[in-house]
Amino acid sequence: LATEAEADEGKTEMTRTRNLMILVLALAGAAAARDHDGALDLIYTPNNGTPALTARGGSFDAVLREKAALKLTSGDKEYPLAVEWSDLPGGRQGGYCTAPADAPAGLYTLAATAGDKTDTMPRAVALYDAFPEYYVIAHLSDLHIGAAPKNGQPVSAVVRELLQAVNASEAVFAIVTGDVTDGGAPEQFQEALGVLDTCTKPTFLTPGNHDRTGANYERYFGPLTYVFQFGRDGYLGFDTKDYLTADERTVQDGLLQVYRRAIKASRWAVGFSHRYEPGMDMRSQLVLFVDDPLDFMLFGHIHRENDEKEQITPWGTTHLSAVPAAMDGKFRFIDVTAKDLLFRPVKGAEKPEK
Amino acid sequence: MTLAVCIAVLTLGADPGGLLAFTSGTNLSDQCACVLDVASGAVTRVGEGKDDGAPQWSPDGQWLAHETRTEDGLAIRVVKPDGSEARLLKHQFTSNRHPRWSPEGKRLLYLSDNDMGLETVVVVYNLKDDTEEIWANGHKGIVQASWLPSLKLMQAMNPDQAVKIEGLDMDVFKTEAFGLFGTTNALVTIGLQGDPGKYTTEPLLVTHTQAAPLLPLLTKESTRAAEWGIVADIKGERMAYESNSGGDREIYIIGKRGLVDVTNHRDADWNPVWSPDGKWLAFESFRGGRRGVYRVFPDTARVFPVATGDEYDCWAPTWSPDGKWLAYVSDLSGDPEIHATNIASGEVRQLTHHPGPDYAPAWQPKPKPTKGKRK
Repeated sequence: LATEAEADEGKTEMTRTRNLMILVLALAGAAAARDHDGALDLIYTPNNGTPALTARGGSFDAVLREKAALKLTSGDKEYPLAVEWSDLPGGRQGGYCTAPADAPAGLYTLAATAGDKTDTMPRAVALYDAFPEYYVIAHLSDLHIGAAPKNGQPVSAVVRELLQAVNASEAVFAIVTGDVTDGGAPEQFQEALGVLDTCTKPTFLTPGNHDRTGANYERYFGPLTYVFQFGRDGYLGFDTKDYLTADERTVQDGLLQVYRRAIKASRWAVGFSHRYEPGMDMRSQLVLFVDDPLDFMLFGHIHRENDEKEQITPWGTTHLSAVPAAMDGKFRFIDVTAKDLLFRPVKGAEKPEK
Repeated sequence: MTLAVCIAVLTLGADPGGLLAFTSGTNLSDQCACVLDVASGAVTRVGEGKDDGAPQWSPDGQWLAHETRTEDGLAIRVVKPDGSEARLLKHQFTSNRHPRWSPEGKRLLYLSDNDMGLETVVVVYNLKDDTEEIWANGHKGIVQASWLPSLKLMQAMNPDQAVKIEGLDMDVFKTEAFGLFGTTNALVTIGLQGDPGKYTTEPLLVTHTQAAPLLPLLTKESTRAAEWGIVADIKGERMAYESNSGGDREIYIIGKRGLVDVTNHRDADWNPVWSPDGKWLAFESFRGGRRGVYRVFPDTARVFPVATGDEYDCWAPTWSPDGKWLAYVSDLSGDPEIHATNIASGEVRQLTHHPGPDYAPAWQPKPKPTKGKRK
């Protein structure tokens, strides 16, 4: 009989082998789509960090490097998309896509073909029969893919377990508020793509300060600021890496105003970003928390829950919610109801740290 | 036909010129203060490329001030437009930002604190003797500040001191605010109002020891709205600021006729910038769907579009010293670059062509003639 230690060692080896196989498969998948190093290529948006959600037969916007034939794929099923094209700044093409009515509800790969180039973007488009009044979302943050193992376990394996819990839940999508990678290197983004693609729900990402050590986040996931609607609720994702600079310089302030206005009539207006700091760019604060205050703001960065004094912005009105780090095996489900957003206890918090 | 020819002749040769400061880099972290010779297109890097902030010209156009990252935080750096004589200002706080030159060009104000929070104080730096002074009696929560070039408007608003402002000793204010040789020692700032959890903002008049709200001079309901972007014209006769009074953000003018909304529109208008002659205001507005640059003649509140687009943004306007061009940032090409529009003809020029983003243009003011050298 094998000793307990030998059995543990065997399990560890099996886990390592399984993780390695998943990583290899994921990297192979990432390399097949996108560019040779997994960066965005023909398809800019929607992608598996900024997916499109729409009703069956509904429409969504796509941004591509050039005009292409677009279709949704799921298994061996293919659904060509009707597309109206328009020129965008920087030479990109905007595609107003209409999903075929016969495509059933589900999460689809978006495939684009231009000339002899085909780009496929898994988990890029989700179709729904109807948008429910009550639903559940998952909030993860601070994955830090590529960081040193936690308690002897690779961080990617820790995160993958969390995503399996999300897959097994009733959550309709997951929000990941930044620090997807530990250092922002291309190979870490490639690994993160493989991990995220184990999620069977749409995943919405925002960048964190660890992701933006260079411009790789944009290369792998595209826009730093975007908005989407789920039924009657509006969600606004934005970047807070550079908020500790006083000047209001970037394009983001203008986009925040446009996007905030776009979701003004929403039942709930929910912002999500990597961090919240009272000293962040004042223009953004005026737009998001003063003139038309968001109802809720989800963030991470602090690797803990926000305490009682940190539950609301200094301007009032906007409720703040931070989630501990996914790399520590923690995340949260949020019930979105007609009356409120109900923040469930942090998942994984009940487990004692090793 | 004749008119068209005349206009064409008048606009021919109306190339923009002078120097234009801006920041450039591959991302925000490596933004570097630069100076563009508008006519030749030559660019001189004058910063260190350490998260350099928006450069500000001294009134005589001979110096630039900008924030830059240091080992302990953010500091203010001054430098000549050719990159020479650069120096970091000594500082007692770790975070120093938003530099603004005094009207006589011998002092700089900036906002400081140690934790990049909202409880900033306003600091005035004397460049002659390298000393820092905290103004407003150390009042915390001053989140924006600019100089008041003269007290003409104050005197017009309250000639007989009929209105008292709580917290403001008008005698002390006047004593402190009148400087030597025609200079003023007064600031107009935006300060936090209320308690944490219920903050709003309001304009404050500030001297070395005084900080008092400005709007009670003009309106009874002065604390309902959140103000921002306050700036006086070059003569100190009018002030422009933005406020969300009424729901969306509008630009208001404080002048001898009182308080006037000059951009009334259901979409947000913000970031007012006075023209060099003080007759026009450039501002940013979302009335076209995206952020665009507009100008308004405040006396009639008539608004004219300058740079707008359906699929891109235009922002951060700065006037050429002759008031004939407006430079701004636009991502028309997919990447933020500095552009300029001729006010009269509408002609657009792309002034910078870098692979990374360029931000925060500031056109060099027309240097004033030096006394004794005039023929």
